[in-house]
Amino acid sequence: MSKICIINTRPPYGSTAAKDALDTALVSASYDQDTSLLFLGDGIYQLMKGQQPEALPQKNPGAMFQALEMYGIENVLLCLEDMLDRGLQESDLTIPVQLLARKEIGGWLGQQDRVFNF
Amino acid sequence: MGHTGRLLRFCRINGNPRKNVKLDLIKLMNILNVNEQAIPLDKEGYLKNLNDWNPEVAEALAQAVGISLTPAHWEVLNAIRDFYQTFDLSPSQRPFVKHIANTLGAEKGRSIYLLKLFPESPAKLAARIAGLPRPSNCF
Repeated sequence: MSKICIINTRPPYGSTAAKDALDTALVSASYDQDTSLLFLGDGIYQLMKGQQPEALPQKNPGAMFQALEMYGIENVLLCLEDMLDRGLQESDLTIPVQLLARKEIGGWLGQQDRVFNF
Repeated sequence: MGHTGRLLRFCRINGNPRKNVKLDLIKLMNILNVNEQAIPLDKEGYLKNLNDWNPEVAEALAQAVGISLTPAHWEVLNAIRDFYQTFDLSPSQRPFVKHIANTLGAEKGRSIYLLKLFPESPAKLAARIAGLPRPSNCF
């Protein structure tokens, strides 16, 4: 079983990056890989509560993130400094996350067999 | 080979020619006729318009692959529809099995049980009959 980390750096709308990252994560987990998601920079906006994308031809990622647990994806990580820089706190997020200080991120990625950046 | 041809082959492979399979339901490739209504399907047999789904359409989709829906099928179909409502996703096999275990109990949340109801690829077949999109992360 490989350790695979999917990095999300892009906001939820305006591109298909968020959807592509989530699809990659779900495929990886469906193949029983030890899959984690890491949210950095504007990627953190994907996890914000209260999104109303109904006017867009895109789905609300909030509902899909709720399914991560069903797919066996337990590690959802988020950069603490990037969250605070955006004026957000944990209670603004749709799912529970593990906060990593920026200096811990290198260590996490160092443990992975594969890293995909979206 | 057209859809009907594939179905015939499917029935033969499974040793179950089912005399009463309503192959006239599929007069044209990728159109399902239910109560005089032509319901368009995509090339893999999933509904093109998810709003076309109703229990009669489900019966017709199931008949087309030689399945008669029983209450055991229906509780699974209802559960997978709930999954879609909740998560906005058609589940792949693993979360499908897990969801059935959570909602219908561990006895039913097993691949072997679901394979008996929906042969070959339960997550895909159940999604198709339940009128959901193809599970995009299910191969």
